[in-house]
Amino acid sequence: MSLRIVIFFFFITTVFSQDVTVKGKVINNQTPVIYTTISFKKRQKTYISNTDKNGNFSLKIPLGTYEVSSTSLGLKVKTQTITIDANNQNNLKIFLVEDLLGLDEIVVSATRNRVNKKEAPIIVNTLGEKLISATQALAVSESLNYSPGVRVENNCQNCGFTQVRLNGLDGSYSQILVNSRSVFSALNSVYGLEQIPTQIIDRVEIVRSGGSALFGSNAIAGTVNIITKDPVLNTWEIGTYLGLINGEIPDRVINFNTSLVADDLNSGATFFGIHRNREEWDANRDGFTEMVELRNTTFGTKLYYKPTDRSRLTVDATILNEYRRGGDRLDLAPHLTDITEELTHNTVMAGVSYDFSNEANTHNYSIYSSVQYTNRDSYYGGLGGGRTTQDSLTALNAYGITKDLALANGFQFTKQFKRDVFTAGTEFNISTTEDVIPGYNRLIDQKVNATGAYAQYEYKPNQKFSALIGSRLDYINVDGIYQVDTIERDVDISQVTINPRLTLAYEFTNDLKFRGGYARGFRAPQAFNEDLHISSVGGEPQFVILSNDLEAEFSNAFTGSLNLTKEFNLTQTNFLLEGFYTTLENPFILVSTGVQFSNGSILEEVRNGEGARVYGANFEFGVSPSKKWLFQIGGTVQRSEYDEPQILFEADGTNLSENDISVSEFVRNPNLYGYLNTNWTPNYRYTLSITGTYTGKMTVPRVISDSGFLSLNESNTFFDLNINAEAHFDVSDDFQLTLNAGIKNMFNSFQDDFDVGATRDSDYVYGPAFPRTLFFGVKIGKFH
Amino acid sequence: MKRLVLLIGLLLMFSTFAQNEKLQWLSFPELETALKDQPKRVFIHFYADWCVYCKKMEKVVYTKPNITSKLKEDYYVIKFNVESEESILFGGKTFINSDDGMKRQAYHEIANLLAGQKNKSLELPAIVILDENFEIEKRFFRYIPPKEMLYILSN
Repeated sequence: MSLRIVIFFFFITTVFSQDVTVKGKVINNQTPVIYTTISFKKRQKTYISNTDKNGNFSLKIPLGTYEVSSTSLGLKVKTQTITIDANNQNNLKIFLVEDLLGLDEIVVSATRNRVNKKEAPIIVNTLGEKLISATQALAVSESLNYSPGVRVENNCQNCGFTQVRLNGLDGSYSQILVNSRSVFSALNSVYGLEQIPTQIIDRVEIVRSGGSALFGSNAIAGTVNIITKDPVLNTWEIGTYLGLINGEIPDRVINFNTSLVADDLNSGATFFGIHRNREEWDANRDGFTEMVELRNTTFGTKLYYKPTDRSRLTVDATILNEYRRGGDRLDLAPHLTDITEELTHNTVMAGVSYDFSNEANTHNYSIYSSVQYTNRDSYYGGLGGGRTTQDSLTALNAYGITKDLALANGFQFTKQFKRDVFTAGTEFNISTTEDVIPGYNRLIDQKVNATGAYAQYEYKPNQKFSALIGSRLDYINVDGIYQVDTIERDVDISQVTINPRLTLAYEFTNDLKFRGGYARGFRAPQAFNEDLHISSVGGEPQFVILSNDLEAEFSNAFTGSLNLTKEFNLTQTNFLLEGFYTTLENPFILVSTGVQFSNGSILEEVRNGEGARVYGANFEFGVSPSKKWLFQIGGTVQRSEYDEPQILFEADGTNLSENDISVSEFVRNPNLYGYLNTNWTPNYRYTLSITGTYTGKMTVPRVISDSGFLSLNESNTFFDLNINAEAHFDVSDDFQLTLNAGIKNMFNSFQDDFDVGATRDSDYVYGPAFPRTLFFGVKIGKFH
Repeated sequence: MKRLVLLIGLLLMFSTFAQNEKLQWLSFPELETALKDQPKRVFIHFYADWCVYCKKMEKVVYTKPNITSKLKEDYYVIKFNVESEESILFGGKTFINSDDGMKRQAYHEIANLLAGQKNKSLELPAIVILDENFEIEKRFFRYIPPKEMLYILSN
């Protein structure tokens, strides 16, 4: 322990004649302590000396008894008093020992309570505020593309519904969490990602593959955890955004948020609101929208109170009102148009959680409960190009109402050992969905009860190796009636499954880490996500219904990765290579069975497929030469294959030119996709960022006849590049201003073969979400 | 005219009042002179631009009248940005930020010396209180709410 720094002295008192020269050495652990300061104190006088490069010192002081101290950091003098007399003035030995007292005052505060990403046993990709602002994402869904293995897909021309694919597996294989709680219900996950405003998000954590027992049984592709901001300062902010889609169609946003936090940080609240108004856009001038009209108003609050230092109560509530409409002639009532999909969502989400810990902070407990209720008015239908009385009647009866209630409750316990961590918990989730469209005799009445218990042990025998061993036990009960026109199906199953999860991590060097894992997952038969969406093809509605005897789907996921993080002076580098291999048993697959009903409606059935394999590699490479520059590139190379050719369209034999259509690989899933992210911050005031995504070729099915017959088309590749420039001004300590402007999808890399007219296939949508879009934004407030 | 005089008078009163409220943060060279002149305990607040809890302390702790008056009375107060690139002459020695241009988290020698912890990276906000002899009395590596701060300063 040598300290090169010497602390100066203030009180060199007058040297009296009776002074003697004292010589000695300062020693710690048998090594001399060099260049440190030693002070001798007697009554009000202090004499100071510094040791030289050999740890020796000398000074002139009067004889007597002194209090000796050292300023050496982290060390203190062993024997604090010393008597200088005639016999004891040369070869003094001053021993220093480790000072542990100074460490007593270190208290773990919330500021530091974060997990070091590098040390985590599971690879977590984080999307922060910086990226969200660089991509000018208005909704979470837009920013998720900038993480390896993640692709956000636009699924519908008429309603603009999006879903997240992780490692090529669709939305139902991943779990979306808000503040680590699963509050997204079956219905919510259809449009929910579009409805969360980005301004309340601190970061989004993405975990690919279900390596932890804490994640739900269906989370086999991974989890997307949206972490909202926790306020510290009293701030306010008002922002506006204007986008011109294709240089013409306005997309207007105004938002605000404000936080108030008590001086002692024991209580605080955040309030936020956002209003978005986007007009519809018709890309191919056929009179039918490619991008829907959208009006969204969200208001919410999050507050916390700490009754004691070791407990915290958090309450949050959000009210959301959204209107979207697509199709043709949006100024007419829906039933007078050829196609309309019109949805009005009224959603209330609320949650409460209570976290507490013991005095030593080694036992942590968390209890939470959250509720989400959505009332949806829908219209999926229209005349479909026909003008007969029957067409009018069908159109008039396409109005529907959906009621969706989801409750999530849970308890979690964490015990910290010296190195190891034990986590156990239970979850109890109820979700009821009732979707009624009387005109189509359509009914979904589903109740899902899911109870889960999990336990996980993080074993760290040494610095290099760690293992995460866990399992979850899930009991699920689905009770549902599914009805369309004359067809009725019901599901009433109860199932218990055990889903083990294992992750191993080994650190070869400080910079290089290996991680490997296995996870088992399952999905019970139930209407989920897109099953609640009715698309429009051939001028007719297309329904999804669960087939008879649908069985649970199981999956096994293996991953292995190497992560290299290295710093060379100012340069930070990060390299990740991750392989994944997932098998699906009895996967749920949508099969078009053609026209089944007298009114011409088309039916798609969810059936069990034979089996499938999804495998490939994710990579990410990042370099940051200094704080001013950041370059990141990442992507995925993968295959997703069915074990046996999978039927997508089943011909009924009435039309001889229509045969069964089957595929050997997943549709709507490219084998190569990726992103890049560049950021330049020359100084505090300016930031320039360039971001982009690449989407490789993929097979996209398109319905080409009103029987539901498909053609399999190959899409082009897309390269979607965005640029954003930002300027920040500190008008005063309490008032700041940020201006920004840029272009989304600079090269206008966009789908060019949208289906046209009243009989179009509205699901024939792929590629980037926006055409070339100019945008401007202003933000004012007290940001910090 | 009378009104103008009154206004100016009010403004003056207000500005002197405001000055009374505000803490006089010293630099290290200023502290050295001050200590030579009249020894006092020293209070140092280490911060960084990115440290939001540091900012919170500046906004709500060092602005409370009872805390500012206590600090003014009994302490010399110093505020130091741990990422400062300046060379500082103090106690006859020059302290520099030797990591500047070498590391991402470049902390100044003064910060490492007074607020550094063994086998740990610097934690902010760091508050260091030294006695009249410039010897470390107490160190805190966290946010300190006003009430606790008052208690710490009074003991």
